[in-house]
Amino acid sequence: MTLPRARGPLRLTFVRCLRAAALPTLLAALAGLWLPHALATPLPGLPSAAGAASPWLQLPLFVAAALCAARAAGFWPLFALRRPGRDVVARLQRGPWRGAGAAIVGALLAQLVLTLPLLTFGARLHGAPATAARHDELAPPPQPALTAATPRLAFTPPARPLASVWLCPLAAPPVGAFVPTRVQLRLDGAVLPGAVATFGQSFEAVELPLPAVTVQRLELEYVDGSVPLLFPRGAVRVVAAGSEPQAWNGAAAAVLLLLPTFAALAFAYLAGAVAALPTVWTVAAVLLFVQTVGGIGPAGDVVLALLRGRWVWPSGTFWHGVPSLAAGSVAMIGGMLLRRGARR
Amino acid sequence: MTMRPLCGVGAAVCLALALREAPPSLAALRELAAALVRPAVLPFAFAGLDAAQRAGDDAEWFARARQITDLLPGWSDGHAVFAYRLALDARPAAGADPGADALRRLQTALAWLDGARATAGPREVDLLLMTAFLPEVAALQQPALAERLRAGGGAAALTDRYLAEAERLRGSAAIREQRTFLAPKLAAGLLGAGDRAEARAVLAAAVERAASVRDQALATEWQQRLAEVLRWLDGDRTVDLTAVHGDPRFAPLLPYLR
Amino acid sequence: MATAISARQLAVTFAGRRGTAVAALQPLDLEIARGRIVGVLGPNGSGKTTLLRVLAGLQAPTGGVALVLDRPPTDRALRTRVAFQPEGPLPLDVLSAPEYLAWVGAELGLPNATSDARAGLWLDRLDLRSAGRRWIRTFSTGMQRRLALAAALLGEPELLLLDEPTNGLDPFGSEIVMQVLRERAAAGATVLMASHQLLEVEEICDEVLLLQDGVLRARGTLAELLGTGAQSLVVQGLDADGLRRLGDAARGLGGEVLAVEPRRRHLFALFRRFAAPPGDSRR
Repeated sequence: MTLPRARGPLRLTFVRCLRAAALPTLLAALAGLWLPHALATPLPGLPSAAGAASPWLQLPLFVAAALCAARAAGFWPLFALRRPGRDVVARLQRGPWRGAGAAIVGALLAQLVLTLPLLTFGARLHGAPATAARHDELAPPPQPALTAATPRLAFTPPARPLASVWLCPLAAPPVGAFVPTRVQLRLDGAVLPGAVATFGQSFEAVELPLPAVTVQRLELEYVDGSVPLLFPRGAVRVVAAGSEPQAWNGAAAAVLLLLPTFAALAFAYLAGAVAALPTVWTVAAVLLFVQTVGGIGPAGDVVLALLRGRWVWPSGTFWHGVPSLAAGSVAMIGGMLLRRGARR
Repeated sequence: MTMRPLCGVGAAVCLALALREAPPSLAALRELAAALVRPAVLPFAFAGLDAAQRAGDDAEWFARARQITDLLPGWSDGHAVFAYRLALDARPAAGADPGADALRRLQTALAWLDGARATAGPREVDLLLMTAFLPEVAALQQPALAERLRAGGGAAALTDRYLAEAERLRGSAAIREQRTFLAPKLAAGLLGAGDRAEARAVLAAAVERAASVRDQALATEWQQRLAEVLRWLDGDRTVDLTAVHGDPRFAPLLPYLR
Repeated sequence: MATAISARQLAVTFAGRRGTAVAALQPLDLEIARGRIVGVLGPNGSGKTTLLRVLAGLQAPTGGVALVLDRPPTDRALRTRVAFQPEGPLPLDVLSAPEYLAWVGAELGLPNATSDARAGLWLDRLDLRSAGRRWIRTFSTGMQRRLALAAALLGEPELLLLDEPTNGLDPFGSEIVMQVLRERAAAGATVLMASHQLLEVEEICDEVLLLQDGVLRARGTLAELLGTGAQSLVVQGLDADGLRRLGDAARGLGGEVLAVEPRRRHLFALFRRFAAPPGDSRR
């Protein structure tokens, strides 16, 4: 059987990216599975955590993204100045981006094909749980400080049965002698017996189980202690009762991981209006790296959420992808306008 | 004549010699693979460390820290930072006895640092010195741990063991003096554990070692006070301990000098 | 006769360093009839490529106006009616020749079957079948030029704008290209080709434009530009005395003998005899 011949920029780029990235991604995935075990020096007494495997899962994901982006930028002549045959392509190709948009989509599809199995099945091999739970960060009140003077903070959880709540406040220096602050949980105004957490310093996360009921109002009440606590966004997180299929979670993660690549390629396209291929490649690589490792963008959070068994679709993690999408879109429009200006 | 066949033969000979000199092994392959992926993985590992910190997930933080030291086995400062944090800062497991939990964490941290010695190279002694003071700091910070360590001679016994090893590897004056000045604490720990003979031996040895303290005035003073304590412990109640009682360095011993 | 290209005061100026302006094309007037083969000659930097790029809609003129097939060059409808073959390597050089032509066909809006059939035809005609599935970047310069011409011809355009179409081609390749261009012109297409291959231009072009420093120095048919008024008579079988008597007769009729020299074959005839494979009809 012969496959239909690729004719448009989307399919041509898709095939080239797939060919360029498939083997290195596979090798990186195998290295990511083998090396953690080969390098690990077991230490009895040290707790393990699936989330810690994220660098080894991110390695093949990054390889796939970087190679697809590099291949697309190198393949489609309109990505950079002084590429052979730019005139031919610019003249023949239709659409506002003269095929560069389609080439980006082709690269993203190739990345999706490569990363989907890694995130749906590969994540399980790295210790990701079989199911995922919905986690929602609760919006903090305007003054999120919990002290003896402001002894109650109210939050509005989503309207679904909840399994637990995670509290991870920031701690301010104590007022007087150091006495860890105790916090009582109230649901719809009523005290939840036994739901008391104690905090003495920042980043002490405490999980309090909840009865699997829908709650309209969740309150934190100061009990005693000298440590003022701050509950900014992300400090209070509720976990929904019930679970979601992890395969769908992986698929959602694979889609979200396309956004950094999109933004990297879009800015590479923008730079290519005035720069040659080495600069374009550098721009793409740097942006991909910054978005993946630097925490600007959804990549790190998505992989972590997947390995920790948190549902990524629509959640705070999901919305972390919006800046990449928005910035990439603006860059695409900018690239188009710059090229249009250059032709005049 | 083309040079290609000659080059091929030359390459084959070089390869054969290289394989003879350093036969391939799984460990070598592992090292090569690690060297290749290390630059790519480490940025993710460090970024993940921050993510775990923000999430307040201790288990994940330490698993990541261990992952980083697995990737950088020769980074002794990193081993020390992570191990100190495990012993000092990690939150006790929910519902666990604080003393038992602190002891478990200290033991794990010490095992971590012991394991790092093999790859510390020339920094092994520095690593040992960092290890030596961990039990004391942990015991000071967690009274329940100090209680747990009492039966074994206290935190000072652990400290002395690591200092002794450091002294064996690099007999510097500074390390010798550290052991000399640790003697009151160590003896107090042993007395607390009921091991009077061993406490006496520690003090006697310290008297001898005090002679080599570089500051002569300090050496004389220290030797004198240790000797007074030793005589008191030997049953001589005529000895005047006023100076010892006024010296904060002997504070751990005071309960046993009444 | 219908006009393929017309230009009035067409000019292109580029911004140079430190605010200076470089005139790549000084205001020129031009009219080229359909079905003609027109050569554009000139030294490097004379504005040949700029003229072609303006007519292909890739470069906006900074002055004047041009019409190609009665439309502005940037009109998207000309994308399929006008083919442009720039100088230099081809794009997408990790494709094979059939893949490249399939992409061109798709972009021209040809049905896949038509595109593939025409591609097959031109691959055979331009001797590119043997390249198989090799990447374009592994092709010789001549193969790349032939593939570029195949791509330009795929849409059966009414106007061909060719920049150095025979550059890097061996004499066989040049001969095929010349033949194909003659056929296209005979079928009604117009060809405007920039070239440094003077003999080829002389052989194929109906008309020539001579550019220098962006200025159109001369234009006209070859007869107009090269004609001297002299006629030549080729004879065979006369000895020296016969030639002398023939000269005398010519002078007696009021003519003048300008040169008596032996007639040679073209060098190409010799090349063909030695370079064409045994059994090849070209030998």
